[in-house]
Amino acid sequence: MKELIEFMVKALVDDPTAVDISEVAGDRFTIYQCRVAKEDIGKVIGKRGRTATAIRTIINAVSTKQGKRAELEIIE
Amino acid sequence: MTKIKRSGTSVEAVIAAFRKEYQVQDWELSYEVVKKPRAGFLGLFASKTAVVSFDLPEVENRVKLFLQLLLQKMGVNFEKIDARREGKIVYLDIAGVSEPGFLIGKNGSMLDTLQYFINRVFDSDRRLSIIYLDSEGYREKKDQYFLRRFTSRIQETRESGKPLTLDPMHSSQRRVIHQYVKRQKGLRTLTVGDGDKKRIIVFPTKLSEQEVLDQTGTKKIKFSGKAPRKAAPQNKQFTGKKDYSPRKDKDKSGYRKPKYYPNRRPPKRGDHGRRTED
Repeated sequence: MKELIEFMVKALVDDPTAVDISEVAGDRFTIYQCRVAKEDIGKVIGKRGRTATAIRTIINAVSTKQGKRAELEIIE
Repeated sequence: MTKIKRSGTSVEAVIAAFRKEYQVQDWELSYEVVKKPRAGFLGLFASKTAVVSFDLPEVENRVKLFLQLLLQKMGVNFEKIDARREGKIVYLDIAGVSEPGFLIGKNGSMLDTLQYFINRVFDSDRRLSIIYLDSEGYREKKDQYFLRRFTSRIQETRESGKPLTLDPMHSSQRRVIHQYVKRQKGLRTLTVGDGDKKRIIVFPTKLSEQEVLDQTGTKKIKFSGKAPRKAAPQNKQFTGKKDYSPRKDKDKSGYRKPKYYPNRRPPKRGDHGRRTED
């Protein structure tokens, strides 16, 4: 799961080395915190948050298939 | 596939420079070291240049590789992906999917999401304009089904000679109709309206655009091609003469007209034209 998020975010940004994903496991769902370079935040969020919504949709679909729940947080 | 040779002081520096130049991500990097810089023995036989040969795949293959890796990481099993490029448009078709319901999603929502995401990833590539994603002809079938609702009405316009205005539609649905009418002889389309109220008008080629707009009582807002450009302002020639024309902000007696402030209170005696706080 983390690998998938990292792959998707790294593909979007200009500076893949600054991408950092950390996993916070909870009893009901796992939160993935995503940090990127300041210039790249707009690219991950997208116009009206559409790119972020697309990433979340993919994550939700994949995690439900595995019987888990996952959430993505983009941290500035 | 093209091969590019680059040289520099060290292998790492060459790779970093190449990746920056062609925006190559680490999963699609493929190279071969031709010559390594050697320290040599006591300065003998030392060479300071590194030569690296890179493989640069075609655009459609880059997109294909990205989609392959993305689907693998998503846990979708598939047989193959067909990539086809027409000018600046890339068509991808995912075939032999084990769980087509998951990949396509409700009403094709997953396919839409993936398509949107891939388009954002390859946004910066000027060689591409748009990437279309499909799975075993699902999109095509859906488009055909959608089009079937309109074909008889479109064909009727040919006989009646009257323009047909359709309901406001989404851009992808309009595209389907535009492409269908393009293949029909003697018929043309026109887009009218603004924002999410854009409509298609189908009309016979006998009529001119203006006639159609007059008949339907609509205004053309979206341009079919490039919007006409405004003429560049002509530079004023310097003639050496002073401009003696009267100033526009002054009337004949030389009195400057006061600016109009709608919310300003009218002046009172004792103001002397100054505005005071009250």
